[in-house]
Amino acid sequence: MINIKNVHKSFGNREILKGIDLTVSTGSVTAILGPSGSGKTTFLRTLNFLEKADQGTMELNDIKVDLKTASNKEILNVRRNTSMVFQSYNLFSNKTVIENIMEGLVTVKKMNKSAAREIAQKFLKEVGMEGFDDYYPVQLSGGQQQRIGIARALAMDPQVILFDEPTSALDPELVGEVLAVIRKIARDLNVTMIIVTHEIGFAKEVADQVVFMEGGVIVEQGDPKIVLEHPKEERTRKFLSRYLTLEPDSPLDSAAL
Amino acid sequence: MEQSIIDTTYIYGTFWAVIPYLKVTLYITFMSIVFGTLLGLFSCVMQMNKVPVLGQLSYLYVLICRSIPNMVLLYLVYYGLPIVFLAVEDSTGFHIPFERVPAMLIAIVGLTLHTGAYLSEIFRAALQSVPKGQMEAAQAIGMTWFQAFRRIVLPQATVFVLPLFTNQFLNTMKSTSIVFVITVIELFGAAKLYTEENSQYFEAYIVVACMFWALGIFFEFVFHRLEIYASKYKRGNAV
Repeated sequence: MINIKNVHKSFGNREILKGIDLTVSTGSVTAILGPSGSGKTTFLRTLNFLEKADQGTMELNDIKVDLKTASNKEILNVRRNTSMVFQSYNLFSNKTVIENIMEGLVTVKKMNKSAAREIAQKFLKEVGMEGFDDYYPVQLSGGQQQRIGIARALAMDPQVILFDEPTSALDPELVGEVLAVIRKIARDLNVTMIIVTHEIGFAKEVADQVVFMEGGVIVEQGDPKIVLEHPKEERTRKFLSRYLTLEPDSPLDSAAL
Repeated sequence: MEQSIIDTTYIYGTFWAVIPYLKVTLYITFMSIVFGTLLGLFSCVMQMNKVPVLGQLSYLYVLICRSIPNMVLLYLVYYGLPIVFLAVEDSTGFHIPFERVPAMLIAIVGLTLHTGAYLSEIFRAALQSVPKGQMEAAQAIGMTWFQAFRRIVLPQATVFVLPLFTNQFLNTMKSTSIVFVITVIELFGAAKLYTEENSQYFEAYIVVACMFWALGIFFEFVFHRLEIYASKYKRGNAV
């Protein structure tokens, strides 16, 4: 169970987050939707301290931290229990595919190399990239890089994986393969996930909970079928109509692109 | 008897006279580069992470030492160090035997200050060339800043840094020829002393020029190989 309370964040005098509360149950998938600039990404980044919040607390199972005043040790502890998948993949470009996944296991979890390699290979297979061990990131397509990014996050065995728009930087034809991988791990591995995304159809299908954010506040949240098909709030309806009118009959993955 | 324009026997003579001082040139170069690298890296990291006091001091250091001519800096250290030591003795009563501080040490300190200031700026450019996401991704999987810096950021910055570092290395190597002014004898100083017997300056300095040239070619080759090795990840593996 993850319990996040009252997260505030400003850049200069622009208030990006105006008090976000969110509860995520273990093993569930939460999708955060909303227009650009609504603070989705910033919110996600405050959870593992890539941005320091101005106010807010988080309970990550037994770990309780203040998002503003956490000590370096607490920050490290939170980061070691969470993983992040980035919009621009951020694979370590000086490491091969297998080294990318092994890196955290060896330097953070202090595993020996052969044990780490075994785990890395298992997750490489999980994301459908077996046999790519010795490629460098520069040799892979965006979709392949992102799947390695997901394998790297999974291998750390985190209590939650934070996905920051995992498909936004991808060419439209590559979006499907990444969504398929996320769908698969949501179904098979029972990992807790918080996904910031623009893929409405994907959110409807995979998420247990959908959160609609706009202007630094949560406008509406709940069961995806209800929020996405029968939104109560006018702002949600307006946002969704932009996507739904695009291709009303086809699956909505990447329709937004 | 016919006399050639250039006296080749004299060239051989100079060559054998200066060759023992090659190790002095190399020693000063390496020491200044090693300490300059450490100083430059420290100064640049302090500035980039905006560490209070140390960051500002580092900025001031780069500002000053980049603007002072090499030889002036060397003289300042040479004449300034004893004054500093005397001041320390005045206030603490602790006597530092500055009269026994070898000129070689002062040469290394002077060149280190100079090299470090330039390297600091080179390192800053190199570290800024590494996308921010690399450090973020490393920290997001729980690595400490230092682990992420050493294992992820530094190896990538190295590829950027090597051509510029090579420049600075050669620059520092050539700058060793001025330490003669504070009585340290290296390649150039040795040649100068050798000519004092008969004033055939041109022949002597041709030898010095050729030796620096050979050293330059050699180190350029070494650094070029290093660069190819360090940038392997940019070309990818044959698979």
